[in-house]
Amino acid sequence: MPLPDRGRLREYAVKGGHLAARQVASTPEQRRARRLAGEAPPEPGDGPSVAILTPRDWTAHVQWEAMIAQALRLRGARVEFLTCGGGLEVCDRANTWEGPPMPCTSCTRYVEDSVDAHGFDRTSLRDGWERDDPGAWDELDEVSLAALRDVVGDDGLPYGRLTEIPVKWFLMRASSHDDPLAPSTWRAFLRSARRIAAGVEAALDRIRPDVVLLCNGLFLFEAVTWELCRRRGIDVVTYERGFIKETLVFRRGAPACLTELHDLWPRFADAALTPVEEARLDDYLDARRHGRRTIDRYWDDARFDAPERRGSGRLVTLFTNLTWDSAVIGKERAYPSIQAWIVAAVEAFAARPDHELVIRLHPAEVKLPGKWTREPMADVLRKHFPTLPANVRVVEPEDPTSSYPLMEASDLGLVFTSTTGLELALAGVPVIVAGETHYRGKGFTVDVSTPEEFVAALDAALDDPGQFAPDPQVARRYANLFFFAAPVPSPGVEEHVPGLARITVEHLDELAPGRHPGVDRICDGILHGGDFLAPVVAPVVGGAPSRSGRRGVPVAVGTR
Amino acid sequence: MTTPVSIVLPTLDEREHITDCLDSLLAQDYPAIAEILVVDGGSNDGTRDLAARHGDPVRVVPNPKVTAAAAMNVGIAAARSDVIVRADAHTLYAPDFVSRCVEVLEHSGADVVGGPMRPVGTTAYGRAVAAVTSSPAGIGPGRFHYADEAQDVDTVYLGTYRKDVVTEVGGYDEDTLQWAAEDQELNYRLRRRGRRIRLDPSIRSEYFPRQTVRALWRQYYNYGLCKASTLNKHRRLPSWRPLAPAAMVAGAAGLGVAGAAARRPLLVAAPVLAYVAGAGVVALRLADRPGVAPHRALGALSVCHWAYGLGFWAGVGRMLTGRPFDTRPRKGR
Repeated sequence: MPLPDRGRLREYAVKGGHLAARQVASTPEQRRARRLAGEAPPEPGDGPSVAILTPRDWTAHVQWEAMIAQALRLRGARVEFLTCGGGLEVCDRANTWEGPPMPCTSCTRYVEDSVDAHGFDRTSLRDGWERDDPGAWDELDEVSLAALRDVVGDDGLPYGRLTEIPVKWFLMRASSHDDPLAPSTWRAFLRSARRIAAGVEAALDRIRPDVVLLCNGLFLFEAVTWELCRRRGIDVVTYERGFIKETLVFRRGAPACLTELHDLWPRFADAALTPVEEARLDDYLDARRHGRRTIDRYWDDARFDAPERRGSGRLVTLFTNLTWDSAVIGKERAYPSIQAWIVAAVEAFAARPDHELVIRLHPAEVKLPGKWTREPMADVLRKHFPTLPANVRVVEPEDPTSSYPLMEASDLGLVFTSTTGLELALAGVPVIVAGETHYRGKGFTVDVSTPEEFVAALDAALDDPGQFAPDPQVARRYANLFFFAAPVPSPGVEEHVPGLARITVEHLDELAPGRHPGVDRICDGILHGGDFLAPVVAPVVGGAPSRSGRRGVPVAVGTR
Repeated sequence: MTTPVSIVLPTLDEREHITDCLDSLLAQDYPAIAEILVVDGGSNDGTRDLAARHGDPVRVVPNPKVTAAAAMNVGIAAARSDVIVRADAHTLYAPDFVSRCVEVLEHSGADVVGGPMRPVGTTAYGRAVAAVTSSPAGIGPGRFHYADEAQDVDTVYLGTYRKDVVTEVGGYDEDTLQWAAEDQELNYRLRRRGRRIRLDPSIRSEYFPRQTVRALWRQYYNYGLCKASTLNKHRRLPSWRPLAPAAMVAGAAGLGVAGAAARRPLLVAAPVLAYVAGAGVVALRLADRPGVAPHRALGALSVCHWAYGLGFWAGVGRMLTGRPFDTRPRKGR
């Protein structure tokens, strides 16, 4: 077992220090939170009531939510937190490599201590389900795995459907029929979901919020809470990390994690980028190419080797996703699964030996510590093709060869829902999209909906890729919306070490109305139904005026 | 013509597992499964009702003697087919499990065939147990725990055989063995009769091992008793290698007593320290597997070794004092 490198050891040491400080509620962010709480208005406001669901000790999320709460309180909102309280059989705080048992003691302690440090009231869901415990749900033992997705509780909640994505995420694989862990895990999630529902019902009865803020929208606590809010007609706002570090994406009534921008795109599709926006996008794409400013960094030592062309046919690259990513589950379009699509692509190239297919397996399959996939795409390929066709080759997930030279050398790209499809288009490479991804239908990809359409588009593109060449300007406008305009700079919190958070606000008035455009956007969206887009700003000096006049430059977090 | 088979599944309070187990057996691609006999030893948790609810070809048969050995004999007697597939409720079966069993039985020339025991942990500790129990260092010589090539072996997990092969040696021993010793002891008798036992990794199933320290301790302590009961019955052992944990316990106890008598604390601590050092190295290697923490692997390894060794000596004690072995579990599995 090799020792971790020096950087990783330093990270472990810092985390060890934080872990110790957590035991006495004295992490740096908790100490800073206490100081900020001392500057908060003494009396609760009479504005809208906002409930924030904060069930897990995901540090950055806890602090983001708390800082949003501080900003909302400064705007007169009454804010209360819903925490878990611990004691569930299983949840998605951890994954199957880590639990069960779940780390309830440490998780609950951090969440509750942090909320207390920020000076907010909190309600534990556990109090609710313990008062009216729905029990062990023995009837689940009679339900076969294939029917677990259809389980509906006595209360009418579709628990099976609500737990489908959390279970897949927890198990780190999408197919359950051949997973020995799936039946018992799914039943455990169903039992947990029913208890969560009891806790949320009790909390909503008491708080009666006007709006509920929750992370992602598809995870266990969040899916159940959202469903209950929907029934009660309570407004729900979701948020998730943006693709650029220290940014967040917010959506009202839709899961933010899917980064679907259909409603916003018409306002951006025809608006040319300003030179500043052009330069900002180029800077970011260059940083991204080298693994900087992204939320997941896979390589410290990426190799930028140009791919070798073998033969005179077209070079086509296929980029995979994680099978259990929420960007894939339920996003099937041309094929019933991403696995079926990959198999179809290889079969198509077996029948077209003059052309070459390179399959780039997603590095996240192996490169995220503690999140190794249990459903590697390489296994799918091995199962269906004991020997791959001679014109098909695979770049393994652990291969540090950068995908960017591969994209740029390609005549054609194939994606299911991967964001590499957007990047291919930005590089001027035609892309065939088989899944329901966020950039589908935006005018710069070839979107197919059936296997026949896929094969027909593939043949046409192999014959003359130029006919499908994307309009790079359209792709860049979408990239600007996706990477910059829609996301909001995170409100006074940075993730200086993966898994830890640092509050960057010195005084609470930095979050006051008019002081921080990002915070204004967030609060305006939550309290007044705003669209979370950048505020209207004057054209940037030296840049061409924006036709839409909607976009502005991002504001650094914590600046006055 | 496809050979019909009967699957015999002993159960006792298996509510948590029975639905998934039967689902995997009912999903077999083998077209000639005549029946799945759920031979139940008096479950109180609704196992029988859950099994019966599946309907044909599942049939629930009572097992008044409770134990798995008796269940197998009841099942074999009740079976309509000549070929018996032994099953376990804590196991999920690959869709081609039965067809591979029949294929290997018919073409290998062996009398008993089976696949490796592939443990799957459902908890953090369970994953450590799975790692330990599928490692030669954790489990000793049972190749069905870790072999990945087809080969003749001493014993296999579960087992598929023709009915008469087992009945001609008197079936499973219900009366003299410590419970849970029945499979290995039967295979021992079969080998002594010149029968061949074949392990084939293409016969795939996944087994849920014990998930807590207490349950693992009880299981391995019982395995030690099982080995002693086999020794008691045959006055010899199928293999001497499982005696390593017993030797370790005896050695540690001997040095401990000697050290205490000589007032040499180092002598008392030496075997424990040596064990921790050796087992620690093994645990670090096992922790290469995803989701296996080295401290849990060390704990599981220690439980397997020490419980087994102590159980064996407890069994030897029973042999020497004439106290009978427990032919049925005192309280659950």
